[in-house]
Amino acid sequence: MGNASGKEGENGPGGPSARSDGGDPANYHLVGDMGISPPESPRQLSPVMFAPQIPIAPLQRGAEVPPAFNYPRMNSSHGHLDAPLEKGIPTLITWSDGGKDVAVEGSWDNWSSRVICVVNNQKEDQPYFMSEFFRKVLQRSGKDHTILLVLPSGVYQYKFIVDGEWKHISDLPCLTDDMGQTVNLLDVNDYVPENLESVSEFEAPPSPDSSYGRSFPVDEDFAKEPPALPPQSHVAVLGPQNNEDSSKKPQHVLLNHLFIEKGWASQSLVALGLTHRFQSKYVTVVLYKPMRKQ
Amino acid sequence: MQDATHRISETDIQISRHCISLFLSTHSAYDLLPELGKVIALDVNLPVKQAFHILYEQGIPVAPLWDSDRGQFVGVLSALDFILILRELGNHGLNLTEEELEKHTISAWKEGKQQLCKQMDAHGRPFQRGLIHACPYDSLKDVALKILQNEVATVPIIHASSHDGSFPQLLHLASLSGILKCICRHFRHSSSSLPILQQPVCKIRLGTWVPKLGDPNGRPLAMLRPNASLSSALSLLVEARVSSIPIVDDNDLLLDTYSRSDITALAKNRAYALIHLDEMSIHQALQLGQDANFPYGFFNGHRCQMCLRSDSLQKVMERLANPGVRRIIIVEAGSKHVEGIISLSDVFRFLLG
Repeated sequence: MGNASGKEGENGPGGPSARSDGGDPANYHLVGDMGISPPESPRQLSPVMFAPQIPIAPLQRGAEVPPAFNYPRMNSSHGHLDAPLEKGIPTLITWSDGGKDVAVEGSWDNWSSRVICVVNNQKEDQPYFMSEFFRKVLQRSGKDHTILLVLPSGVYQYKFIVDGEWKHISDLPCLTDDMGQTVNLLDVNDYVPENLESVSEFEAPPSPDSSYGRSFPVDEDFAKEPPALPPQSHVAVLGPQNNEDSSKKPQHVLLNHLFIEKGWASQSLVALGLTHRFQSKYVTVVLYKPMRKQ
Repeated sequence: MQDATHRISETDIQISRHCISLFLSTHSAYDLLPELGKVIALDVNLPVKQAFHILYEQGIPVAPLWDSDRGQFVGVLSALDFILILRELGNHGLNLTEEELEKHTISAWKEGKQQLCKQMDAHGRPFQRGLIHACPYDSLKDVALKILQNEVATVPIIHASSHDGSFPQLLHLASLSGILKCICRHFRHSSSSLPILQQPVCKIRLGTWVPKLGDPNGRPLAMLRPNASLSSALSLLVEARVSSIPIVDDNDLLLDTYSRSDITALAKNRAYALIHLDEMSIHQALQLGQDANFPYGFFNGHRCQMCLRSDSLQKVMERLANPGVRRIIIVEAGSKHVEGIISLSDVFRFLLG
């Protein structure tokens, strides 16, 4: 009797119905809100989009310093089946506690090279990477020393060398070992998690004038034309999913809409599909049900 | 003198176990969810035949079951169910006419299965009533233990969006490979905290090995020839409680594997309606699945993930972390002579101690 199961229509944390998403995401995302930005810098640091720039070739002196500007997929050098295809994700590391020479070392290359800071007053908006033999450079812009690294997804440990001394940022996630040495932790994700707090200032527009009662449709409702399907809804929620695509965020306009596919072949079967948001993740649930014979 | 398994240092094992336990206890099942995931569920009133077609067409080995009258998820349907049904059909245990079989629903099967399992209890196999599931904020350690203790492959992650448990939200199907992927990702770049990762797998007590390499009192490694009957393979899968069997030639060289999930290939062209399990060989059953479109990373000719006994634990773990890979077959370099099998549950039993 009535609608099949309450779960599709009723529940689902009805999050913000539409979010000004700034259009198409660029090919890559900056992990701007992972807590990397120093405490005193304002929230609008995230997510900063870099226009593609012509990279300056790093000065390499032998050794395996990884190339910094590798936006397209960076295949792992291992065998095909060993490590998953690694995409390099540009990640920003910032030191803003003063100091003249700031460098960083990390477990991304097993602590084998050090990245130095170069003071460059002219081109503040173009971080570039100059690698001397052992050092990785952080570029200074005002009080901040920053470095852009391109790293595959994973968790890394790193430390700063400020004017010759080992330092870490205690406000960021860190880890202390048995000897009392503290390192900072960096978690690089292939996607930018939803920042739920950032939508707090967003005022939802008022609902358009209409009737929003919850009564079941009666016969005269069925006599009317159904509302027009929004053009964004042609996306196949119910189609087979390619596992590689699992990092494509769905458009918010498709959330909490029920899709139905019925009666292929001679099977008295119906498929119902719904995509909803759970915290920062999205789930599409497809339920196959028998159609009751009328 | 035999190549004795020199024990790797107990301290190394304890340090690594402690690190992993800490990681698993401080991360939750929420971390397993991909940014955009898809889960397929089946209504419990679907006929079993249609259900297996869906499993096959969607390329999934297991699906949670939804009971719309109760408004709850009540269990899962997996390849093992299909195997049991086929065996019962073969034994005429189900006592159903063709027409009844068309309409035999999942819920009717599950009720019948309870009866069956009571008979099988002599083997000491636990049979579960009701749904085994986890919540999104359960720790990864709890989820892993739940999977191991209940001897299942996946556990649905369900969020109760209201206090009385109504309107449950199905979020994800958690498996050991997803948890292993989290572990690998976390420790890949700081492997000094897990000293046993670099050890070769033959030196670590995990997995099932041929007698000359493994513990002589351990479980024997079950293998079959390609001309063995499908019913012998299915019996082995059920009774030995393994999820996969290496198929070898007369010299014990690896040819292929037959896994529980391969049974869904029989849904193709309704093969299961026509065969008698004794008359079909494993080789024929495998051929049925050859051009099946499995999205799990089974490349043509690469259905079995293999490695050498000298490969490090880290390498084996990275391979097992690929979705769809549940076990690795250890072979001898060059000859593909089967030496052992390491499965996801072997790795977790070892890591969790």
